[in-house]
Amino acid sequence: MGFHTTSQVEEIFGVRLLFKVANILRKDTFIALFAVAFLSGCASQQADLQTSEPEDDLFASTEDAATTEEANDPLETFNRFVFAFNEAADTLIIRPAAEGYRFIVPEPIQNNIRNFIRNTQSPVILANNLLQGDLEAAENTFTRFFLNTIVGLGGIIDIAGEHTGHEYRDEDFGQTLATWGVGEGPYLVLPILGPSNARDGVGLIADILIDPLTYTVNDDVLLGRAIVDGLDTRARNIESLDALKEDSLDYYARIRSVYGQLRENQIRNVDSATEKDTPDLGNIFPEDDDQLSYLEE
Amino acid sequence: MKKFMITVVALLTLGATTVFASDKADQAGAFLQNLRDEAVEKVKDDSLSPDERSEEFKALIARNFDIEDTARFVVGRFWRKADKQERSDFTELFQNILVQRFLPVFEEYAEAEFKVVESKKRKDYFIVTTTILTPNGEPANLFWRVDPKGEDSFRIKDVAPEGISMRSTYREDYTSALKSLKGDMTEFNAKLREKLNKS
Repeated sequence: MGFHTTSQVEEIFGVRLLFKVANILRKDTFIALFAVAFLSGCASQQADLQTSEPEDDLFASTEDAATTEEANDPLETFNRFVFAFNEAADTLIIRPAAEGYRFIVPEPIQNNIRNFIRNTQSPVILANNLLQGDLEAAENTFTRFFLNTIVGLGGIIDIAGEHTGHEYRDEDFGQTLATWGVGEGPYLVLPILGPSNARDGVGLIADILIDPLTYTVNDDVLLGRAIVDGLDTRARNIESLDALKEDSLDYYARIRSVYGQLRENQIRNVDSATEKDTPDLGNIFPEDDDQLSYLEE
Repeated sequence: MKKFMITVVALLTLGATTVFASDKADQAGAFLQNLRDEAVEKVKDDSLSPDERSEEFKALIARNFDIEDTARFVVGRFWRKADKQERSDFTELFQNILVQRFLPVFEEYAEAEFKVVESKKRKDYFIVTTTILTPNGEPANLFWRVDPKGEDSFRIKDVAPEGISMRSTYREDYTSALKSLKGDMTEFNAKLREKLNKS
């Protein structure tokens, strides 16, 4: 019975298949990338056109604004389906695994794991810093990578963040596209990966293509990194997501809102606010409603 | 000489208004700091039963949070379609939801270090930036929208932990839920009530 080799077992679970597909996709990804970027650009332009239409019915347009303003979700039916699937996967596998991870792995080790993973992502962050023209952030990322790799024992200790004030700041290609003026496009819920949108979906693929490890390291290692990274993030959010879910009437809509705001803040770097350098808070708080929608009777 | 006088007057007024403005912003920050101290005191008061504590907390929120405006905002266009009874029911329920949601947060963070970092005016309200040290030692930013109320008092209109606005999030949730109920506020209130009683 020689055919139960490791690679066949993996074949059964479809893991290798997934990576084969990814490899085939790679060739055409650049074309796909620009196609989707173009499409999402069109979508956002169209949205602009829609909002700037002259209003002959003032009431109707305010009503629309109240609901469509924040929810750019033309694929809602499909998204809700994927969301339900993800929820099931989370309840059955991901959340229990994250709880197990948190229970078994001591907190300092968890932090070492996160530091290490973040350090391996530095080249991607650096590339995006540069693509955004943010030299200050690029210097920060480079210093972190240099210090943490050499002094921080290959990245498991965040020396730069703890001692020299070079704190971790995430950047990805979705954010880079945003700084280039690409609109977010329609909201998307990706299987397992969760909330996204057309722009950030493209960003995910681009980040894989930018990453030097994609071309140098075994696919299994990359998959392992993605899984541990996801598990670690999930483990750090068990309570907050539970609370959010418990408090929601429509959990799907709530997550959609949180995702939109989170990305908006990441793009404006609200998350990296320090005492010296307060970010542009932009429209962090929603505009007050029009007088019309408050009108009594 | 006349020119000089005008300049002096202009400078004085300018100085006075900027001092006044930043003064007011500082007051908004102090308002939050005091409120936090008061809330922590309530939370840590062992002489209160859990029910009493929740009542105290509710009163504190009612005094310092613009519940009515927020309730109206989070149901968006559906407010206009609701009748008086539905509106007041919802406002009452929403207040209880806020208590249920934020009392545990206050309890968890009662010991955490809380600092007002900055307070600045924007349009007709203030944005107060505060930081709080989470249990795992990482600082988190909390942004508050504080509206002036009368001469020297304030009301909280919104809070945004890490920049996620509470008003926006509830609004997207509730308007979506109401849409699927075809705007039936009575049924919507029933669902909220059921949720409140369950936990």
